[in-house]
Amino acid sequence: MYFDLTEEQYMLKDSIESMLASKNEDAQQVKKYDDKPGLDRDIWLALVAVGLPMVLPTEEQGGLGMGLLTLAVAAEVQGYYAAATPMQDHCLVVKALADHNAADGRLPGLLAGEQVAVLAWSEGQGNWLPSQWGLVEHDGRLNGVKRDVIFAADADFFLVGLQGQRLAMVAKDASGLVIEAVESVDRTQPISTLTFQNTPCEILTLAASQVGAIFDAALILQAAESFGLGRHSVQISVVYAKTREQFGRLIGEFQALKHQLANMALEVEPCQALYWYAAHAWDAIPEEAPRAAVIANAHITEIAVKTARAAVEVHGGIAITWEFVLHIWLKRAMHNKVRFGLPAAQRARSALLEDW
Amino acid sequence: MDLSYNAEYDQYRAEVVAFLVKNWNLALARDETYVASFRKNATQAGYLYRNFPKQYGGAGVAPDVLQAQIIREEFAKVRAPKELGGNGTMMLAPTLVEYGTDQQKEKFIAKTLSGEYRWAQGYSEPGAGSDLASLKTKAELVGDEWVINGQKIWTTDAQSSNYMFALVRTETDVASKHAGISYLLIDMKQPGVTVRPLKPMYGGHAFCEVFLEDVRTPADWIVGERGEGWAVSKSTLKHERNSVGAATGALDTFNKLVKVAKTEILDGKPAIESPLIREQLGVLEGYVRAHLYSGYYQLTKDAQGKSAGIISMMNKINSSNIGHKVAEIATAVLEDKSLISPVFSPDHKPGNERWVNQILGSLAATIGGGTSNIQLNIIAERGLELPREESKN
Repeated sequence: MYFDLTEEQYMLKDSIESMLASKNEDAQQVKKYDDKPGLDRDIWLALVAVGLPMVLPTEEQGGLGMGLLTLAVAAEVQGYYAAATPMQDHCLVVKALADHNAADGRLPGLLAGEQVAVLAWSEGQGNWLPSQWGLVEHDGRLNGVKRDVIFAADADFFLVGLQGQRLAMVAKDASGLVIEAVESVDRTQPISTLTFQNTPCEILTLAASQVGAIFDAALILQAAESFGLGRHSVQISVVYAKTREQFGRLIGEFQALKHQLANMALEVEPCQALYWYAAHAWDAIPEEAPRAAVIANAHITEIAVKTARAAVEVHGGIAITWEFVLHIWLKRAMHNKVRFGLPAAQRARSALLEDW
Repeated sequence: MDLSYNAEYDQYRAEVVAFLVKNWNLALARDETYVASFRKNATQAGYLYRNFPKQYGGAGVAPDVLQAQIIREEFAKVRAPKELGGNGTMMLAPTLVEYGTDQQKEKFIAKTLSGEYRWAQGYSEPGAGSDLASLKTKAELVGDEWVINGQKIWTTDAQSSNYMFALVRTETDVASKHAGISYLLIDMKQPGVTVRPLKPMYGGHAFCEVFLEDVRTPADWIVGERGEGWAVSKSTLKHERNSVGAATGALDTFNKLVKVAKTEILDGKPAIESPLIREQLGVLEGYVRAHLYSGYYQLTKDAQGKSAGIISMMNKINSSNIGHKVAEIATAVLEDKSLISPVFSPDHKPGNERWVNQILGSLAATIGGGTSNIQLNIIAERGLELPREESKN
């Protein structure tokens, strides 16, 4: 019985933490945020150097086969530092492609991080689930729209969700593909709308269960990332309460504020074990994974928003301003809560899975 | 991450199961003599009272939280009795092992573990709740006896207890209110002790007021030195902390609530088909599972003798917060059944209205054993290291 990370996972976590702490400390964030939103190449290359795209594919597929929990721990840290890369999407595309064909010619470039791949699943109006994907493929061609695709301008490939719970690869320069950037609330993960007009695609030969597993993994990685966002909200607020003075005392001496902060921690801290369990289930108890994934995603993405809003309240006026960093985390948490389906939709699915 | 137990523990589990098959018969669960002898056998086999010395009626086994967890799981599966509950076995006996004199250990521990001696906890007073150290019950040494005067409250099982372990003020002119407190053992069956039961709002019997007027206890029935009572009451005896027990209980309660929601009808359909109830249950399940898996993490840390950090300060309030949410959903599911006061009698078993006691009792859980406000102070001051509040007394 060992419900904890391994030494190796803690070391990976530490190394990503120290890398991001130097490249993405809070003070640098606002400036980056004001620049043209998009992929942070510097951080992207550093995450690739750690080997993240190699984590999910098995050794037979040419990867490390280290499992989703390892990747989820990395996602947590990226959430904590609000790193502007689509690394989680990218790793899932790599895994889908490796499941499709481990000898696929696109894999080496993706594993090396020379190319970038992202997910194109949402069709808006609450249609995020594989069973809800409505885009139809006809003779290897796509016609229709996908929304809310992150880092589309930086991506070389899109993993597109199709009707019948299928996945297809589309290259960025495919004919008839129009990418239209949306003015995004969350500039750390800018979104675009993709329009396909007779666009060629390649259907991946994956069973519905394999597609389902990729979707579950996406929910879990995002839950992990949202835990990182939530923990950041607590940490930055606690630090502030220990330095800011009013009425001649540190505001952290006031019980109203202490309880506010304790309640934030009380919401966020148990989420760590919740996402660990879901990721572990994906790795080792597959029959539990779909439900564990929706429960973790619904619970943690909701709490991340709640906690980010509470952090703004703790800080007072300064946190309402653009130049203070907190809104970056709040907006990312808001994005994560919607992406892949709202908590209520996730819970409705979890109820069905349990046959309630 | 590995949720299985290794071969050594699998072997241990097999031994526990074999012991239960041979020694436990659920059909006799109401036979007190049978249960007492089962407990005795289970203790000798090393499964109950594990960390108490053999000479005082314990098993004398070294702490091992994973073994303890296996025992809990297997005993629960066949509904075999665990250690006797109550203040005596859970608080007084471990404290005596750590701080008691040889005579005190000799006289009290074995008979407490067997259930012969029952104990009341004399801590809270009408004026000393969350601020326990401001307690006023006084003890004066007169000759070779302490003479005690004062009042205790929220004293569970005071009517049926033989003895009380109490915090009393023995020292004046000391640096702090804490330094004036001593830990005394008191015979409850003597003149001057008046027990008045307090009826809780959910009915039944729960706790009492205890009035102490010129009550006497031998001079050497003090545990620890004079003025050391506060530290003695915080006895940190090494024991197998049950970090998943409460969380497993929360999951059980949740599963029962789901069952009730499947059987109760709202608007012509099982309540669980209401989108609102489903969503509320879904939200609650997130909290229940986060709490449960956090318990797994604490179990892992406990097994390594390491601290799990801030999460270990959250167990009590997580459990009581979950209790609040259960109450809220149960009320919605029961609808007008929540207006029925449940009747328990030999010829009447209440239906789902029994949940009314859960609904009301969940409030008691947020108060007893450290209120939720105090739990938040602990998380803020010890967990988040925010500045401590100055005491004004």
